[in-house]
Amino acid sequence: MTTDFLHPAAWFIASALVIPLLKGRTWWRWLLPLPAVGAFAGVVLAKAGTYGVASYLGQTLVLGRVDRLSLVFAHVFAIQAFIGILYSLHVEEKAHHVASMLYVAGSFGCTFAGDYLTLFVFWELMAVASTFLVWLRRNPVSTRAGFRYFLFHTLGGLFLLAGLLLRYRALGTFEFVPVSQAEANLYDYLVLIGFCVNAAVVPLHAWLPDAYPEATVPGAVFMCAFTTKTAVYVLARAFAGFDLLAVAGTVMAVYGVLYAAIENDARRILSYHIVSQVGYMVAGIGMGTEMTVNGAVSHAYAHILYKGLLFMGAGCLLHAAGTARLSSLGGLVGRLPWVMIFYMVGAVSISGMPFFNGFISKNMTIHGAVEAHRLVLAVFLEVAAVGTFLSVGIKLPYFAFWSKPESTIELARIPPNMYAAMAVAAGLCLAQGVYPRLLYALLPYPVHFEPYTGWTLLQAFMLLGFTGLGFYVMRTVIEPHPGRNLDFDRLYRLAGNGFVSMVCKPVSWLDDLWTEVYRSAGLRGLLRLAAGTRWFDKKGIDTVVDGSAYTVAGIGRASARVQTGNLQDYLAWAAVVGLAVCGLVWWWWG
Amino acid sequence: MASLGRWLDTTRKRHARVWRRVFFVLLAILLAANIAVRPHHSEYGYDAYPGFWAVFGLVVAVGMVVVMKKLVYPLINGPEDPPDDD
Repeated sequence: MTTDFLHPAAWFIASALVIPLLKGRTWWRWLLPLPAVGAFAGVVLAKAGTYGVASYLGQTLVLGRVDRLSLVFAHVFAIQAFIGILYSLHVEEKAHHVASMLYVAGSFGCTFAGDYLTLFVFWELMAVASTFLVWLRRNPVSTRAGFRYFLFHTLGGLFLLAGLLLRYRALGTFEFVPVSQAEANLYDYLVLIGFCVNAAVVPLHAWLPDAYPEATVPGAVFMCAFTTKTAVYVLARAFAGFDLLAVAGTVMAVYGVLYAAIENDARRILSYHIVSQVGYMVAGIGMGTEMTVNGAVSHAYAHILYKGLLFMGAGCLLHAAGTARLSSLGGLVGRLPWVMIFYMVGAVSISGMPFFNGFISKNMTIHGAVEAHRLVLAVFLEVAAVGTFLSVGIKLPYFAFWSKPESTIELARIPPNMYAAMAVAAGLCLAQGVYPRLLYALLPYPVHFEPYTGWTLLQAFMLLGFTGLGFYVMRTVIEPHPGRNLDFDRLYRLAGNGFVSMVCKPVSWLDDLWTEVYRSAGLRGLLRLAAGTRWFDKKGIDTVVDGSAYTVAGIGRASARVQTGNLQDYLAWAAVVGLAVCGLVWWWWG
Repeated sequence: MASLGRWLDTTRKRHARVWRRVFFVLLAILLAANIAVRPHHSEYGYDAYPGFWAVFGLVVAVGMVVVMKKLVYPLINGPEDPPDDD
């Protein structure tokens, strides 16, 4: 690579390689933020251009396509990597740090990838590394959730792989470039499906609210930032202007808030709001005008900061109280005042309150939709805005920190680095809200949008204020109760189990058949053999053959006992018995 | 930290009525302001009328809670940790 661009992923991959070699319990943790600082410096200093062009197996790989679109995402990824690392600084488990470093590296790799092969490799790296952020919670629920998460992402990855290979056969290139809807082929749509899995586009979204609430406390902070937003980046890169996405994004925006309104687990509420917020971005990309794409990108930027902050706040609840279920919490503000204050900064940001960063990004998307004459979509995006404030802005903090008798749960101490990370994120949310230029200057297109006018301020405060009144009226109805709501993940599991039985049924049928064959041929053969040896024995060679006759009969009895009903046992025994029968046949007739 | 927590806790337990009044007064001020401050050109048509976004927020919030919690929730809610079907 040239001196003009040092790939940010290099910092994180190097760290992931070095961390396992470090000895001692604590000192090395102070160095963990280093790669994020290095990556941020690299992004700020990077000049547009193409770097890291490599030839591999006759293909041209482009590791560093640096332009305004990739830089704005890399900018916020570097900041969020720093915040996430700061938040996880107290974690002693090296595997956790390695997983998060590789995950972030994957995200940077995708962001700067100029060809589909490079993209695919880093895409899969993200899937594998993030799965460990779920598994490292180390309980049976998260283990199962991690497997489901991994399987679903593997499926998404396969769509991407199928698409890029078919595309290569048709076009002879892996170049990762924009596609216009009019010229899109089947392979483009396969790639699109792969991207949509990671963007949590409904109905491919259910892995997200299934897995994120089961991830480790800091793991979820990383995950909420990188997977879906990397997908937003690749959608913006390749599929801007796909009308399908405009509708799909609006459906996501509304779907997420509807589910969040009836959820109980704080991190699951926030997960549904990722689906909803990413919906704004997908819709903006789908509408494809300069303003809506700008809106989508700025919303992705703002979202990474405030959603990370919200997950950090909910993570503090889980860390301190041992649960993030609202039905078990209540009245915690007296004991966790700063957690509530930082959480509320994130909450008003996501709700689009003036002077916080959600306001300057969300309104750009909605305003862009109106300018593109997509009024129906714009109205539904406003509906989602109401639902966002209702659940994240009021319901979650009200039932965790404010309402009801104070929860008597004994609270674990929250390490200072977790507070520090939340303070950094909260400061950035506020700074961007007050100085929109901080964000607007980074966007891919020139910005012709003034977020702060008398009317937009009044409109926002009216919308939020009367949503608050709606909550006040409905506060007893909306109270969360324990329970989990049915979503598409149940359908995935049905489909998955269907597939498993589709594979297993023929195998177990074959196994049954084989057992039958073995019973009638093999066992009879054994018995005949035993009879033969008995006859031989009768002839008078007792002393030599007695033992072996008993052994053979014993094998017959033992093999009858191994029918345990386990498919693995069947397969193993079928193989062993098959070999044995072959051996016997060979011995008998050979 | 302790004193901030104490103050917030006192506010939570004792001053709810005061905050409620402040909230209602603010809502009234917003409505009154909307009579004077209007959009330059209405984006959706109806938003030219004062109080449109107030009604929109209230109706959508109440409607969302009623539909989701009263109608949909009983249909789709199950145990918190569903048994795995594998």
